[in-house]
Amino acid sequence: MSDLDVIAAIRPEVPFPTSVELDRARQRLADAIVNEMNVKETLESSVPSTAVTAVHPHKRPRWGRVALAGAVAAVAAGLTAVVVVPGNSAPNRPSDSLPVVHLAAVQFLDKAAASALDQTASPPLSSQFVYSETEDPDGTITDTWLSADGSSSGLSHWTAGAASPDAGTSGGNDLGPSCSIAQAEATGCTPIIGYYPDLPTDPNAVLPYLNRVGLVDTANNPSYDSLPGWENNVIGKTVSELMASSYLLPAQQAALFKLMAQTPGFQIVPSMTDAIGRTGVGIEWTFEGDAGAVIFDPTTYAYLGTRTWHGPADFNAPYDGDALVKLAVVSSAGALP
Amino acid sequence: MPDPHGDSADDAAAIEMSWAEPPQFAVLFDRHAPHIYRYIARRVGHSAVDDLVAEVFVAAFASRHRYDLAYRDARPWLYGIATNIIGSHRRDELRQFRIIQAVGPQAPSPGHADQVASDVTARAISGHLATALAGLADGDRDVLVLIAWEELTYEEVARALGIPVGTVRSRLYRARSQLRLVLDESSAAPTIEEVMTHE
Repeated sequence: MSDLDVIAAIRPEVPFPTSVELDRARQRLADAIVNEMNVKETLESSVPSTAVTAVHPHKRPRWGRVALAGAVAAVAAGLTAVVVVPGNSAPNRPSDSLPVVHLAAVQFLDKAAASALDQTASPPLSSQFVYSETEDPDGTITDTWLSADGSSSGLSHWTAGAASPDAGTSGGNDLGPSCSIAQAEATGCTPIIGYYPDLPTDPNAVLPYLNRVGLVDTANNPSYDSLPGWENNVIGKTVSELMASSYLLPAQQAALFKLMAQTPGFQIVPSMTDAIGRTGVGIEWTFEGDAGAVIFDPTTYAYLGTRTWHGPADFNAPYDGDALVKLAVVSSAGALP
Repeated sequence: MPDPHGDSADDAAAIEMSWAEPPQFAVLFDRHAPHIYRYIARRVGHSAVDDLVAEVFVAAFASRHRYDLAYRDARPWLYGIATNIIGSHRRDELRQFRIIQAVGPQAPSPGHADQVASDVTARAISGHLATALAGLADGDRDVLVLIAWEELTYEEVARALGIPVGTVRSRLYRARSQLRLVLDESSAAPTIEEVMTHE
Protein backbone atom coordinates (compact mmCIF):
# COMPACT_ATOMS: atom_id res chain seq x y z
CA MET A 1 0.00 0.00 0.00
CA SER A 2 1.07 3.57 -0.52
CA ASP A 3 1.42 6.54 1.76
CA LEU A 4 -1.58 8.07 -0.02
CA ASP A 5 -3.65 5.07 1.03
CA VAL A 6 -2.61 5.60 4.62
CA ILE A 7 -3.43 9.31 4.40
CA ALA A 8 -6.81 8.45 2.90
CA ALA A 9 -7.46 6.16 5.84
CA ILE A 10 -7.39 9.02 8.34
CA ARG A 11 -9.93 10.96 6.30
CA PRO A 12 -12.81 11.93 8.61
CA GLU A 13 -15.81 9.85 7.64
CA VAL A 14 -18.62 12.28 6.91
CA PRO A 15 -21.89 11.09 5.37
CA PHE A 16 -23.50 13.00 2.58
CA PRO A 17 -25.86 15.60 4.02
CA THR A 18 -29.61 15.20 3.97
CA SER A 19 -31.72 17.65 2.03
CA VAL A 20 -32.71 19.27 5.32
CA GLU A 21 -29.07 19.85 6.24
CA LEU A 22 -28.59 21.69 2.95
CA ASP A 23 -31.63 23.92 3.44
CA ARG A 24 -29.83 26.87 4.91
CA ALA A 25 -27.21 27.00 2.20
CA ARG A 26 -29.85 26.50 -0.45
CA GLN A 27 -31.85 29.40 0.98
CA ARG A 28 -28.86 31.73 0.91
CA LEU A 29 -28.17 30.89 -2.72
CA ALA A 30 -31.83 31.47 -3.48
CA ASP A 31 -31.64 34.87 -1.78
CA ALA A 32 -28.59 35.78 -3.84
CA ILE A 33 -30.30 34.76 -7.07
CA VAL A 34 -33.49 36.67 -6.34
CA ASN A 35 -31.50 39.66 -5.17
CA GLU A 36 -29.67 39.80 -8.50
CA MET A 37 -32.94 39.49 -10.37
CA ASN A 38 -34.51 42.31 -8.37
CA VAL A 39 -31.52 44.56 -8.94
CA LYS A 40 -31.60 43.79 -12.66
CA GLU A 41 -35.30 44.58 -12.84
CA THR A 42 -34.78 47.88 -11.05
CA LEU A 43 -32.05 48.92 -13.43
CA GLU A 44 -34.12 47.95 -16.46
CA SER A 45 -37.15 49.91 -15.28
CA SER A 46 -35.32 53.09 -14.40
CA VAL A 47 -37.56 56.15 -14.21
CA PRO A 48 -36.91 59.92 -14.24
CA SER A 49 -35.20 61.11 -11.11
CA THR A 50 -38.23 63.12 -10.01
CA ALA A 51 -40.33 59.96 -9.57
CA VAL A 52 -40.10 57.44 -6.73
CA THR A 53 -38.50 54.23 -7.86
CA ALA A 54 -40.28 51.17 -6.56
CA VAL A 55 -38.45 47.89 -6.35
CA HIS A 56 -40.80 45.13 -7.42
CA PRO A 57 -40.09 41.61 -6.31
CA HIS A 58 -39.52 39.38 -9.27
CA LYS A 59 -42.95 38.39 -10.56
CA ARG A 60 -43.84 34.89 -11.65
CA PRO A 61 -46.18 34.12 -14.56
CA ARG A 62 -49.85 33.71 -13.64
CA TRP A 63 -50.96 31.72 -16.67
CA GLY A 64 -52.41 28.89 -14.63
CA ARG A 65 -55.01 31.03 -12.87
CA VAL A 66 -56.86 32.11 -16.03
CA ALA A 67 -57.52 28.53 -17.04
CA LEU A 68 -58.56 27.60 -13.52
CA ALA A 69 -61.01 30.50 -13.13
CA GLY A 70 -62.63 29.80 -16.47
CA ALA A 71 -63.03 26.13 -15.68
CA VAL A 72 -64.66 26.47 -12.29
CA ALA A 73 -67.08 29.18 -13.49
CA ALA A 74 -68.68 26.59 -15.76
CA VAL A 75 -69.67 24.47 -12.79
CA ALA A 76 -72.50 26.85 -11.90
CA ALA A 77 -74.19 26.02 -15.18
CA GLY A 78 -74.19 22.34 -14.32
CA LEU A 79 -71.64 21.60 -16.98
CA THR A 80 -68.69 19.39 -16.37
CA ALA A 81 -65.53 21.34 -15.97
CA VAL A 82 -62.07 19.98 -15.93
CA VAL A 83 -59.30 21.38 -13.85
CA VAL A 84 -56.05 19.98 -15.12
CA VAL A 85 -53.32 20.46 -12.59
CA PRO A 86 -50.53 22.30 -14.35
CA GLY A 87 -47.17 20.69 -14.53
CA ASN A 88 -45.02 18.73 -16.90
CA SER A 89 -46.09 15.23 -17.74
CA ALA A 90 -42.63 13.81 -18.27
CA PRO A 91 -41.22 12.39 -15.06
CA ASN A 92 -37.65 12.65 -13.91
CA ARG A 93 -36.15 15.40 -16.02
CA PRO A 94 -33.12 16.22 -13.92
CA SER A 95 -31.78 18.67 -16.46
CA ASP A 96 -34.80 20.96 -16.00
CA SER A 97 -34.12 24.19 -14.20
CA LEU A 98 -35.67 24.59 -10.79
CA PRO A 99 -37.49 27.84 -10.05
CA VAL A 100 -35.94 29.32 -6.99
CA VAL A 101 -38.24 30.06 -4.05
CA HIS A 102 -36.60 32.01 -1.32
CA LEU A 103 -39.66 32.49 0.82
CA ALA A 104 -40.02 30.81 4.17
CA ALA A 105 -42.84 28.31 4.53
CA VAL A 106 -45.11 30.92 6.10
CA GLN A 107 -44.58 33.41 3.33
CA PHE A 108 -45.08 30.78 0.64
CA LEU A 109 -48.29 29.53 2.21
CA ASP A 110 -49.58 33.10 2.58
CA LYS A 111 -48.95 33.62 -1.12
CA ALA A 112 -50.67 30.32 -1.92
CA ALA A 113 -53.66 31.49 0.09
CA ALA A 114 -53.72 34.83 -1.70
CA SER A 115 -53.49 33.06 -5.04
CA ALA A 116 -56.44 30.85 -4.11
CA LEU A 117 -58.49 33.90 -3.19
CA ASP A 118 -57.89 35.30 -6.67
CA GLN A 119 -60.00 32.46 -8.09
CA THR A 120 -63.74 32.51 -8.65
CA ALA A 121 -65.79 29.38 -8.18
CA SER A 122 -69.25 28.05 -7.52
CA PRO A 123 -70.16 24.97 -5.50
CA PRO A 124 -71.11 21.75 -7.30
CA LEU A 125 -74.71 20.65 -7.51
CA SER A 126 -75.70 18.12 -4.84
CA SER A 127 -76.37 15.52 -7.54
CA GLN A 128 -72.93 15.82 -9.04
CA PHE A 129 -69.73 13.94 -8.21
CA VAL A 130 -66.21 15.14 -7.59
CA TYR A 131 -63.79 13.17 -9.72
CA SER A 132 -60.06 12.95 -9.05
CA GLU A 133 -57.24 11.13 -10.76
CA THR A 134 -54.06 10.45 -8.77
CA GLU A 135 -50.90 8.59 -9.66
CA ASP A 136 -48.44 6.76 -7.42
CA PRO A 137 -44.67 6.54 -7.89
CA ASP A 138 -45.05 3.06 -9.40
CA GLY A 139 -47.44 4.40 -12.02
CA THR A 140 -50.66 3.15 -10.46
CA ILE A 141 -53.57 5.38 -11.47
CA THR A 142 -56.52 5.77 -9.09
CA ASP A 143 -59.79 7.32 -10.21
CA THR A 144 -62.19 8.36 -7.46
CA TRP A 145 -65.74 9.63 -7.61
CA LEU A 146 -67.23 11.15 -4.48
CA SER A 147 -70.82 12.26 -4.19
CA ALA A 148 -70.91 16.01 -3.81
CA ASP A 149 -73.29 15.82 -0.85
CA GLY A 150 -72.68 12.27 0.28
CA SER A 151 -76.16 11.11 -0.56
CA SER A 152 -74.88 8.48 -2.98
CA SER A 153 -72.12 5.92 -2.72
CA GLY A 154 -68.84 6.87 -4.26
CA LEU A 155 -66.69 4.81 -6.55
CA SER A 156 -63.01 4.16 -7.01
CA HIS A 157 -61.09 2.38 -9.74
CA TRP A 158 -57.37 1.65 -9.97
CA THR A 159 -55.04 0.50 -12.72
CA ALA A 160 -51.73 -0.88 -11.51
CA GLY A 161 -48.66 0.84 -12.85
CA ALA A 162 -45.88 -0.80 -14.79
CA ALA A 163 -43.58 -0.69 -11.77
CA SER A 164 -46.21 -2.12 -9.45
CA PRO A 165 -46.06 -5.75 -8.31
CA ASP A 166 -49.64 -5.93 -9.62
CA ALA A 167 -48.74 -4.59 -13.05
CA GLY A 168 -51.30 -5.57 -15.65
CA THR A 169 -54.21 -5.67 -13.25
CA SER A 170 -56.96 -3.28 -12.33
CA GLY A 171 -59.87 -3.15 -9.95
CA GLY A 172 -62.21 -0.98 -8.02
CA ASN A 173 -64.96 -0.83 -5.50
CA ASP A 174 -67.95 1.13 -4.34
CA LEU A 175 -67.17 3.67 -1.67
CA GLY A 176 -70.20 3.09 0.46
CA PRO A 177 -72.45 3.06 2.30
CA SER A 178 -72.93 6.75 1.83
CA CYS A 179 -72.13 9.07 4.67
CA SER A 180 -73.19 12.67 4.41
CA ILE A 181 -72.22 15.41 6.82
CA ALA A 182 -75.53 15.02 8.64
CA GLN A 183 -75.01 11.28 8.93
CA ALA A 184 -71.44 11.80 10.13
CA GLU A 185 -72.56 14.15 12.88
CA ALA A 186 -75.41 11.86 13.85
CA THR A 187 -73.84 8.44 13.66
CA GLY A 188 -70.11 9.05 13.68
CA CYS A 189 -69.48 7.60 10.23
CA THR A 190 -66.60 9.11 8.32
CA PRO A 191 -67.95 11.40 5.57
CA ILE A 192 -67.52 10.16 2.04
CA ILE A 193 -68.29 13.34 0.17
CA GLY A 194 -66.64 15.48 -2.42
CA TYR A 195 -67.72 18.87 -1.18
CA TYR A 196 -67.84 20.32 2.31
CA PRO A 197 -70.13 23.35 2.16
CA ASP A 198 -69.51 24.26 5.78
CA LEU A 199 -65.74 23.84 5.76
CA PRO A 200 -64.77 27.13 7.41
CA THR A 201 -62.98 29.96 5.70
CA ASP A 202 -61.53 31.02 9.04
CA PRO A 203 -58.35 28.99 9.59
CA ASN A 204 -58.93 28.96 13.35
CA ALA A 205 -62.25 27.22 12.86
CA VAL A 206 -60.99 24.50 10.52
CA LEU A 207 -59.74 21.96 13.08
CA PRO A 208 -62.85 22.20 15.29
CA TYR A 209 -64.99 21.63 12.18
CA LEU A 210 -62.94 18.66 11.03
CA ASN A 211 -63.24 17.16 14.49
CA ARG A 212 -66.99 17.69 14.47
CA VAL A 213 -67.50 15.91 11.16
CA GLY A 214 -65.11 13.12 12.01
CA LEU A 215 -62.33 13.78 9.54
CA VAL A 216 -59.81 14.17 12.36
CA ASP A 217 -59.84 13.26 16.03
CA THR A 218 -57.61 15.73 17.78
CA ALA A 219 -60.18 16.98 20.26
CA ASN A 220 -60.43 13.70 22.13
CA ASN A 221 -56.84 12.63 21.88
CA PRO A 222 -54.97 13.14 25.14
CA SER A 223 -51.62 12.90 23.37
CA TYR A 224 -52.51 15.81 21.08
CA ASP A 225 -50.05 18.15 22.70
CA SER A 226 -47.52 15.64 23.91
CA LEU A 227 -45.96 14.31 20.72
CA PRO A 228 -43.81 16.78 18.76
CA GLY A 229 -45.10 17.19 15.26
CA TRP A 230 -48.52 15.64 16.01
CA GLU A 231 -50.40 18.75 14.97
CA ASN A 232 -48.33 19.20 11.81
CA ASN A 233 -48.94 15.57 10.89
CA VAL A 234 -52.71 15.86 11.32
CA ILE A 235 -52.94 19.12 9.44
CA GLY A 236 -50.52 18.14 6.68
CA LYS A 237 -52.24 14.85 5.95
CA THR A 238 -55.72 16.32 6.16
CA VAL A 239 -54.85 19.17 3.81
CA SER A 240 -53.42 16.61 1.37
CA GLU A 241 -56.52 14.43 1.53
CA LEU A 242 -58.89 17.35 1.05
CA MET A 243 -56.87 18.85 -1.81
CA ALA A 244 -56.61 15.50 -3.59
CA SER A 245 -60.23 14.43 -3.40
CA SER A 246 -62.50 17.36 -2.56
CA TYR A 247 -63.90 20.30 -4.41
CA LEU A 248 -62.80 23.26 -2.34
CA LEU A 249 -64.00 26.81 -2.76
CA PRO A 250 -61.17 29.35 -3.05
CA ALA A 251 -61.74 30.72 0.44
CA GLN A 252 -61.74 27.19 1.85
CA GLN A 253 -58.43 26.44 0.15
CA ALA A 254 -57.02 29.68 1.48
CA ALA A 255 -58.11 28.77 5.01
CA LEU A 256 -56.27 25.45 4.80
CA PHE A 257 -53.08 27.14 3.62
CA LYS A 258 -53.39 29.78 6.32
CA LEU A 259 -53.89 27.05 8.92
CA MET A 260 -50.60 25.51 7.80
CA ALA A 261 -48.93 28.93 7.79
CA GLN A 262 -49.92 29.67 11.36
CA THR A 263 -48.89 26.25 12.67
CA PRO A 264 -45.23 26.15 13.79
CA GLY A 265 -43.16 23.27 12.52
CA PHE A 266 -43.76 23.34 8.78
CA GLN A 267 -40.63 23.96 6.77
CA ILE A 268 -40.12 24.88 3.15
CA VAL A 269 -38.12 22.76 0.74
CA PRO A 270 -37.53 24.97 -2.28
CA SER A 271 -37.35 22.11 -4.76
CA MET A 272 -39.01 18.74 -4.42
CA THR A 273 -40.27 16.27 -6.99
CA ASP A 274 -43.69 14.75 -6.68
CA ALA A 275 -44.67 11.14 -7.30
CA ILE A 276 -44.57 11.56 -11.08
CA GLY A 277 -41.47 13.69 -11.30
CA ARG A 278 -42.94 17.16 -11.40
CA THR A 279 -40.84 19.72 -9.58
CA GLY A 280 -42.46 21.88 -6.98
CA VAL A 281 -42.08 23.51 -3.60
CA GLY A 282 -42.49 21.23 -0.61
CA ILE A 283 -43.99 22.18 2.73
CA GLU A 284 -42.75 19.43 5.00
CA TRP A 285 -43.06 18.22 8.56
CA THR A 286 -41.66 15.41 10.66
CA PHE A 287 -43.44 13.21 13.15
CA GLU A 288 -42.20 10.21 15.12
CA GLY A 289 -39.36 9.51 12.74
CA ASP A 290 -41.43 9.89 9.60
CA ALA A 291 -41.58 12.89 7.31
CA GLY A 292 -44.29 14.17 5.03
CA ALA A 293 -44.68 16.97 2.58
CA VAL A 294 -47.35 18.76 0.64
CA ILE A 295 -46.02 19.81 -2.76
CA PHE A 296 -47.11 22.93 -4.64
CA ASP A 297 -46.44 24.25 -8.09
CA PRO A 298 -43.89 27.02 -7.49
CA THR A 299 -45.42 29.29 -10.11
CA THR A 300 -49.17 28.83 -9.80
CA TYR A 301 -49.34 27.49 -6.21
CA ALA A 302 -51.50 24.64 -7.47
CA TYR A 303 -51.48 21.51 -5.30
CA LEU A 304 -49.35 18.84 -6.93
CA GLY A 305 -49.35 16.01 -4.43
CA THR A 306 -47.95 14.58 -1.27
CA ARG A 307 -44.96 12.51 -0.19
CA THR A 308 -44.18 10.47 2.88
CA TRP A 309 -40.86 9.07 4.04
CA HIS A 310 -40.69 6.35 6.61
CA GLY A 311 -37.96 6.22 9.18
CA PRO A 312 -34.84 8.35 9.39
CA ALA A 313 -33.88 7.90 5.70
CA ASP A 314 -33.04 11.02 3.75
CA PHE A 315 -35.16 12.31 0.91
CA ASN A 316 -33.46 10.17 -1.68
CA ALA A 317 -34.87 7.04 -0.07
CA PRO A 318 -37.91 5.24 -1.47
CA TYR A 319 -41.09 6.95 -0.43
CA ASP A 320 -44.86 6.82 -0.59
CA GLY A 321 -46.95 9.51 -2.13
CA ASP A 322 -49.30 10.38 -4.85
CA ALA A 323 -49.63 13.10 -7.40
CA LEU A 324 -52.90 14.81 -8.22
CA VAL A 325 -53.29 14.73 -11.98
CA LYS A 326 -56.85 15.86 -12.43
CA LEU A 327 -59.78 17.16 -10.37
CA ALA A 328 -63.15 17.78 -11.89
CA VAL A 329 -66.88 17.82 -11.28
CA VAL A 330 -68.86 15.24 -13.28
CA SER A 331 -72.46 14.27 -13.58
CA SER A 332 -72.29 10.69 -12.26
CA ALA A 333 -69.99 8.13 -10.68
CA GLY A 334 -67.90 6.55 -13.37
CA ALA A 335 -68.21 9.47 -15.77
CA LEU A 336 -65.01 10.98 -17.02
CA PRO A 337 -64.43 14.67 -17.56
CA MET B 1 -26.93 9.05 -1.42
CA PRO B 2 -26.09 11.30 -4.37
CA ASP B 3 -24.76 9.68 -7.49
CA PRO B 4 -21.00 10.23 -7.12
CA HIS B 5 -20.79 11.11 -10.77
CA GLY B 6 -23.95 13.20 -10.83
CA ASP B 7 -25.34 14.55 -14.01
CA SER B 8 -22.40 16.91 -14.50
CA ALA B 9 -22.54 16.72 -18.28
CA ASP B 10 -24.96 19.63 -18.22
CA ASP B 11 -23.03 21.88 -15.81
CA ALA B 12 -21.61 24.16 -18.48
CA ALA B 13 -24.99 24.38 -20.19
CA ALA B 14 -26.70 25.22 -16.91
CA ILE B 15 -24.15 27.90 -16.13
CA GLU B 16 -24.46 29.41 -19.59
CA MET B 17 -28.23 29.50 -19.27
CA SER B 18 -27.91 31.14 -15.87
CA TRP B 19 -26.19 34.11 -17.43
CA ALA B 20 -29.57 35.26 -18.71
CA GLU B 21 -31.77 33.19 -16.40
CA PRO B 22 -30.20 33.23 -12.94
CA PRO B 23 -32.47 30.55 -11.40
CA GLN B 24 -30.86 27.97 -13.70
CA PHE B 25 -27.83 28.09 -11.40
CA ALA B 26 -29.80 26.22 -8.73
CA VAL B 27 -29.20 23.03 -10.72
CA LEU B 28 -25.53 23.10 -9.73
CA PHE B 29 -26.44 23.27 -6.07
CA ASP B 30 -28.57 20.15 -6.25
CA ARG B 31 -25.87 18.27 -8.17
CA HIS B 32 -22.79 19.22 -6.21
CA ALA B 33 -23.70 20.64 -2.80
CA PRO B 34 -23.57 17.22 -1.09
CA HIS B 35 -19.93 16.68 -2.20
CA ILE B 36 -18.89 20.21 -1.28
CA TYR B 37 -20.62 19.91 2.09
CA ARG B 38 -18.83 16.67 2.81
CA TYR B 39 -15.45 18.10 1.71
CA ILE B 40 -15.80 21.15 3.92
CA ALA B 41 -17.00 19.11 6.89
CA ARG B 42 -14.04 16.75 6.52
CA ARG B 43 -11.59 19.63 6.61
CA VAL B 44 -13.07 22.09 9.11
CA GLY B 45 -15.74 20.16 10.97
CA HIS B 46 -19.50 20.65 11.22
CA SER B 47 -19.86 23.78 13.28
CA ALA B 48 -19.85 26.24 10.38
CA VAL B 49 -20.31 23.95 7.41
CA ASP B 50 -23.79 25.29 6.53
CA ASP B 51 -22.51 28.83 6.18
CA LEU B 52 -19.39 27.80 4.32
CA VAL B 53 -21.33 25.74 1.79
CA ALA B 54 -23.56 28.77 1.29
CA GLU B 55 -20.49 30.97 0.77
CA VAL B 56 -19.17 28.59 -1.88
CA PHE B 57 -22.33 28.65 -3.97
CA VAL B 58 -23.02 32.34 -3.51
CA ALA B 59 -19.44 33.07 -4.62
CA ALA B 60 -19.78 30.67 -7.54
CA PHE B 61 -23.04 32.31 -8.57
CA ALA B 62 -21.42 35.74 -8.43
CA SER B 63 -18.53 34.63 -10.62
CA ARG B 64 -20.46 32.41 -13.02
CA HIS B 65 -19.99 34.77 -15.94
CA ARG B 66 -16.29 33.99 -15.88
CA TYR B 67 -16.77 30.21 -15.95
CA ASP B 68 -14.95 28.51 -18.82
CA LEU B 69 -17.71 26.68 -20.68
CA ALA B 70 -15.16 24.30 -22.19
CA TYR B 71 -15.31 22.40 -18.90
CA ARG B 72 -18.60 20.55 -18.74
CA ASP B 73 -18.08 19.36 -15.16
CA ALA B 74 -18.16 22.23 -12.69
CA ARG B 75 -17.29 20.23 -9.60
CA PRO B 76 -13.53 20.96 -9.70
CA TRP B 77 -14.37 24.65 -10.01
CA LEU B 78 -16.55 24.42 -6.92
CA TYR B 79 -13.84 22.49 -5.06
CA GLY B 80 -11.49 25.36 -5.84
CA ILE B 81 -13.86 27.95 -4.41
CA ALA B 82 -14.39 25.75 -1.35
CA THR B 83 -10.65 25.36 -0.88
CA ASN B 84 -10.20 29.13 -0.98
CA ILE B 85 -12.90 29.55 1.63
CA ILE B 86 -11.37 26.84 3.79
CA GLY B 87 -8.17 28.84 3.58
CA SER B 88 -9.92 31.52 5.58
CA HIS B 89 -10.74 29.00 8.28
CA ARG B 90 -7.35 27.51 8.97
CA ARG B 91 -7.92 27.54 12.72
CA ASP B 92 -10.98 25.32 12.29
CA GLU B 93 -8.99 23.01 10.04
CA LEU B 94 -6.18 22.72 12.54
CA ARG B 95 -8.73 21.96 15.23
CA GLN B 96 -9.98 19.10 13.06
CA PHE B 97 -6.46 17.72 12.83
CA ARG B 98 -6.19 17.86 16.61
CA ILE B 99 -9.42 15.84 16.81
CA ILE B 100 -7.99 13.24 14.44
CA GLN B 101 -4.86 13.24 16.51
CA ALA B 102 -6.82 12.68 19.69
CA VAL B 103 -9.39 10.12 18.64
CA GLY B 104 -7.96 8.61 15.48
CA PRO B 105 -9.91 7.64 12.35
CA GLN B 106 -13.09 5.57 12.33
CA ALA B 107 -12.89 1.85 13.00
CA PRO B 108 -11.70 -0.10 10.00
CA SER B 109 -14.49 -1.03 7.67
CA PRO B 110 -14.60 -4.47 6.10
CA GLY B 111 -13.09 -4.49 2.66
CA HIS B 112 -10.10 -5.31 0.60
CA ALA B 113 -7.16 -6.61 2.58
CA ASP B 114 -5.00 -3.65 1.61
CA GLN B 115 -7.74 -1.28 2.75
CA VAL B 116 -7.97 -3.04 6.09
CA ALA B 117 -4.21 -2.88 6.43
CA SER B 118 -4.24 0.84 5.61
CA ASP B 119 -6.88 1.41 8.25
CA VAL B 120 -4.99 -0.49 10.90
CA THR B 121 -1.78 1.33 10.10
CA ALA B 122 -3.52 4.65 10.03
CA ARG B 123 -5.03 4.06 13.44
CA ALA B 124 -1.57 3.37 14.77
CA ILE B 125 -0.03 6.51 13.37
CA SER B 126 -3.01 8.84 12.98
CA GLY B 127 -1.73 11.24 15.53
CA HIS B 128 1.60 11.64 13.78
CA LEU B 129 -0.10 11.92 10.38
CA ALA B 130 -2.49 14.56 11.61
CA THR B 131 0.41 16.54 13.04
CA ALA B 132 2.31 16.18 9.81
CA LEU B 133 -0.68 17.29 7.74
CA ALA B 134 -1.19 20.31 9.92
CA GLY B 135 2.45 21.24 9.44
CA LEU B 136 2.33 21.26 5.66
CA ALA B 137 2.27 24.46 3.67
CA ASP B 138 -1.33 25.40 2.92
CA GLY B 139 -1.02 24.92 -0.82
CA ASP B 140 0.69 21.55 -0.41
CA ARG B 141 -1.97 20.35 2.01
CA ASP B 142 -4.74 21.47 -0.33
CA VAL B 143 -3.26 19.37 -3.15
CA LEU B 144 -2.73 16.36 -0.90
CA VAL B 145 -6.25 16.42 0.54
CA LEU B 146 -7.95 16.93 -2.81
CA ILE B 147 -6.12 13.91 -4.19
CA ALA B 148 -6.07 11.57 -1.18
CA TRP B 149 -9.41 12.47 0.41
CA GLU B 150 -11.54 13.76 -2.46
CA GLU B 151 -9.96 11.53 -5.13
CA LEU B 152 -9.64 14.27 -7.72
CA THR B 153 -7.28 13.70 -10.62
CA TYR B 154 -4.19 15.83 -11.09
CA GLU B 155 -5.94 17.69 -13.89
CA GLU B 156 -8.99 18.32 -11.74
CA VAL B 157 -6.85 19.60 -8.89
CA ALA B 158 -5.04 21.88 -11.34
CA ARG B 159 -8.39 23.30 -12.49
CA ALA B 160 -9.66 23.63 -8.94
CA LEU B 161 -6.64 25.52 -7.67
CA GLY B 162 -5.87 27.40 -10.86
CA ILE B 163 -2.34 26.03 -11.13
CA PRO B 164 -0.49 24.02 -13.77
CA VAL B 165 -0.57 20.23 -13.53
CA GLY B 166 3.21 20.28 -13.08
CA THR B 167 2.75 22.41 -9.97
CA VAL B 168 0.22 19.92 -8.65
CA ARG B 169 2.76 17.12 -9.04
CA SER B 170 5.54 19.08 -7.39
CA ARG B 171 3.36 20.14 -4.45
CA LEU B 172 2.18 16.58 -3.98
CA TYR B 173 5.75 15.30 -4.07
CA ARG B 174 6.81 17.92 -1.53
CA ALA B 175 3.88 17.12 0.75
CA ARG B 176 4.55 13.41 0.67
CA SER B 177 8.25 13.95 1.26
CA GLN B 178 7.55 16.14 4.23
CA LEU B 179 5.10 13.66 5.67
CA ARG B 180 7.65 10.91 5.39
CA LEU B 181 10.23 13.10 7.08
CA VAL B 182 7.94 13.73 10.03
CA LEU B 183 6.85 10.14 10.22
CA ASP B 184 10.41 8.81 9.94
CA GLU B 185 11.31 10.86 12.98
CA SER B 186 8.33 9.66 14.97
CA SER B 187 8.10 6.69 17.26
CA ALA B 188 5.85 5.05 14.70
CA ALA B 189 8.67 4.96 12.15
CA PRO B 190 9.28 1.20 12.38
CA THR B 191 5.57 0.52 11.76
CA ILE B 192 5.46 2.91 8.86
CA GLU B 193 8.62 1.60 7.27
CA GLU B 194 7.21 -1.86 7.48
CA VAL B 195 4.03 -1.17 5.59
CA MET B 196 4.47 1.87 3.39
CA THR B 197 5.89 1.87 -0.10
CA HIS B 198 6.71 4.58 -2.56
CA GLU B 199 4.56 4.99 -5.58
